[in-house]
Amino acid sequence: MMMATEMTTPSLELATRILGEAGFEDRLVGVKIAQMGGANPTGLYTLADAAAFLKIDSYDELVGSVGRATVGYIEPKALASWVSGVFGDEELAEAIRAEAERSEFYAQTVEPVKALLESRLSQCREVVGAAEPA
Amino acid sequence: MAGGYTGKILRIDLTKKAVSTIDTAKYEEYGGGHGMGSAIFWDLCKDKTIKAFDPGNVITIMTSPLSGTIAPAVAGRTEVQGIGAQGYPVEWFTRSNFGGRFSGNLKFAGWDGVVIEGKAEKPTWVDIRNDKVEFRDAAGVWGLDATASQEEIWRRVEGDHVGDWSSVGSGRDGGRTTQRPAVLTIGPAGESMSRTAALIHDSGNGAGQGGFGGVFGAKNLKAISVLGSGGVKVADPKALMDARMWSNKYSVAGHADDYIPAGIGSMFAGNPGQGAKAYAPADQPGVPMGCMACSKNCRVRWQSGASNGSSCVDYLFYNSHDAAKHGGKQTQAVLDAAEMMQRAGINAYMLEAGIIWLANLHKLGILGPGKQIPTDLPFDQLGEASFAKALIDKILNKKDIGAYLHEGLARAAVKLGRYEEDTKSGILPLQEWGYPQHYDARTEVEWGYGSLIGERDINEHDFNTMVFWAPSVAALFGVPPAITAKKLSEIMAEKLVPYKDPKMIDYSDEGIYSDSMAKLVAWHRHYTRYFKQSLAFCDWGWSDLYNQYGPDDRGMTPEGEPKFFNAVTGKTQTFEEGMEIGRKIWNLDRAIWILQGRHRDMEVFTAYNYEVGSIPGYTTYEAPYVMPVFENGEWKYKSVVGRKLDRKKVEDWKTKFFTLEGWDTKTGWPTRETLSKLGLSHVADELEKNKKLGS
Repeated sequence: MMMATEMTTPSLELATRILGEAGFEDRLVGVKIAQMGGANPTGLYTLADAAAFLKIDSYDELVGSVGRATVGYIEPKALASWVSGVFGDEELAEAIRAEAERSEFYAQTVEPVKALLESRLSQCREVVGAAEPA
Repeated sequence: MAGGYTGKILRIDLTKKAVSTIDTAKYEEYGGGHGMGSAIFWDLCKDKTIKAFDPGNVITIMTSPLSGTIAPAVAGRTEVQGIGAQGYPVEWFTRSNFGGRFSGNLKFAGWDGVVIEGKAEKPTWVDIRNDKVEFRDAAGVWGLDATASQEEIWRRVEGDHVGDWSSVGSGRDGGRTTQRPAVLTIGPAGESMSRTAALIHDSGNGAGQGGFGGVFGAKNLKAISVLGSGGVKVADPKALMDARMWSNKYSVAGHADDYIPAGIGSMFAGNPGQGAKAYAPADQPGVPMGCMACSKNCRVRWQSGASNGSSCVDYLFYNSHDAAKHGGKQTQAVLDAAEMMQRAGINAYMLEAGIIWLANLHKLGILGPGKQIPTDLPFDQLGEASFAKALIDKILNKKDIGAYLHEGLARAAVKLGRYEEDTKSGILPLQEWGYPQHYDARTEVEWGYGSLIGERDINEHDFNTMVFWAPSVAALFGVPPAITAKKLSEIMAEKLVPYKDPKMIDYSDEGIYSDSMAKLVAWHRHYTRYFKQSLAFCDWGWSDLYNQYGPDDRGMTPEGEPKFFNAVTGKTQTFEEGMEIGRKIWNLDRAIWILQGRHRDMEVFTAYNYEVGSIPGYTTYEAPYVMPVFENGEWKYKSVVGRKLDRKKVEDWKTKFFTLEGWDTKTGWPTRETLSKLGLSHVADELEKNKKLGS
């Protein structure tokens, strides 16, 4: 996994929100694309959903093979807006935007953004876990 | 008769338990496969307005003259036709096909195809061993899943010498063969007459779209087994071998020393067995496998044995759910889900779109325990094999939500009162005729138009690979496509005979409604009806328009198809002549749909295609849909995602298309002049008799 940007530890309240689940109208829509199967919009409701969904196989596999490699596509700007608007995590949203700006093309953003999401989820689980009664 | 044909088609009357033969020569002008199937259906199905499950439905299972030969990415395909159970609101006459070795074995047994009529009194399977055809009691087979059914039939045919020589009478090698019987069967979904049931052959071969599994079930037909010990008479074996070696130059197999790892998605030049590895757990070894005589071997056998031979949507219906549940990793769950789907004999496309729809309804609070649509589906297990099992079991047993899904997605949505709302919002992505969206009609219009003017999701990737997939993936990686939009248009202009219009691949906002787009759709309908569905050239090998190994990036089309056909048959047919036969078949199919009630006013996409330009919620863009466009006097690639179709312009495009095809622009019905020129005067007579002839 690539190193994620260091983010400040969230408050318990924010960590709880970040680990929560969006409603249907607030869902993030990723698109799973595969040469054989086409493009399928997929509703994502949690940060963990988004982290697991983000995926891109190699260029050679996607273009040079017979068509079953896949992309789990999430528009980075939409992801940042979702993180900010639904979960209130401005810091993560900004980190995603910065990563997208740093990248020259989409495939470059996938692993860093995935790492950011996983890192934030890990932080939040620690915060919430520490607050739970032993 | 010409090489490649056995000369006779097996006609089976299940009601009378009688067999007879049809001379192939009577239908030879159609080439084989789909063309012959449509013509036979036209002749034998007297009332074309009957329903799919009516015993009068005539099902054709046809080969091609190239079946069972060494023609690459051709020899293993089998075409299935008849009135399908899946189409909505009308059960259209439709088609499906599957790979494997059924068609080759049918030829080796001496048959160019099988025609099925009537309904058996009790569950039956048909046992074909060369020219000996028997109706067998399906007791002990009926009730088995699609894998166990085949295993049981192998045991009954081969007795105690499974895997050893079988003696099937006269023929090559003294009438003996080591081939296992090739079995086409249904699973429990077909037995229960599900509209979403598939036909299954070996492992990983399925004819899913159309609901022909349910039609078999309605006929009390569990399976057809065929074992042959003959061969295929090839008119010019040297020419066929030369053609195969020539085609090798266009495939990765011929370029071990100068392999080009990333083309632009050339169909014929794809890598053997590589892609499916994306679906398996990373530590699970697999080996390539393929259909009879194919050079591509595009499927995989896994160490676990689960879902062997599956590909495409067999995995795609569940791979993202598996990954979402397991931290982005693929696990055994996706293979197990594919295995369950195959054994049940369910159409994977229904499961893919169905799970998306159900998950949306669940999140909306409409579907779940005690909800408006009650179900105890364990959504907390979505992504585990247990969820797939629960869903499939409910469909097979017609319990809970499965009672609705058993009827297919469109009818399920209607019965649940969700059809209008959910196809308007797009959370139920049925694009036309009750078939799930495969490629987006709003962006890749040739796919949508072809499906709309036809009767099902076309599932033909001829252009899709070049005009969408390759440039879109290139954009994701920030690299220029291997070929410029201008050069691609030039190649198309050379190869898309007879039209030769470079603007045919202009997917700009104007181009998608143009005369040129009408030509592209017409070319595609005619090409696929003949070369792909009648001669059985595989969708994953042909057409070969662009090829990174070809001279100046040119593929084998239009030279390759007639080269193989003529070598096998001994004929001297040109590509252009083949395209005209395709036009004839397309018009014949159109006439059948018209007798079933088709009118241009019915040919409308579901509402979301006109009203939703992007997915609601926090995504304002779908994945980039980068396509060639001709704008401001120059060719370029551009993302056209987010586009909505304009209702009036689609109607205007239909008028252009109907004009090009020689059909009545008010009704979409072919005219007598058009049909007569194609040698279909008898079809014009029938349409006229029914007051449905275009003017």
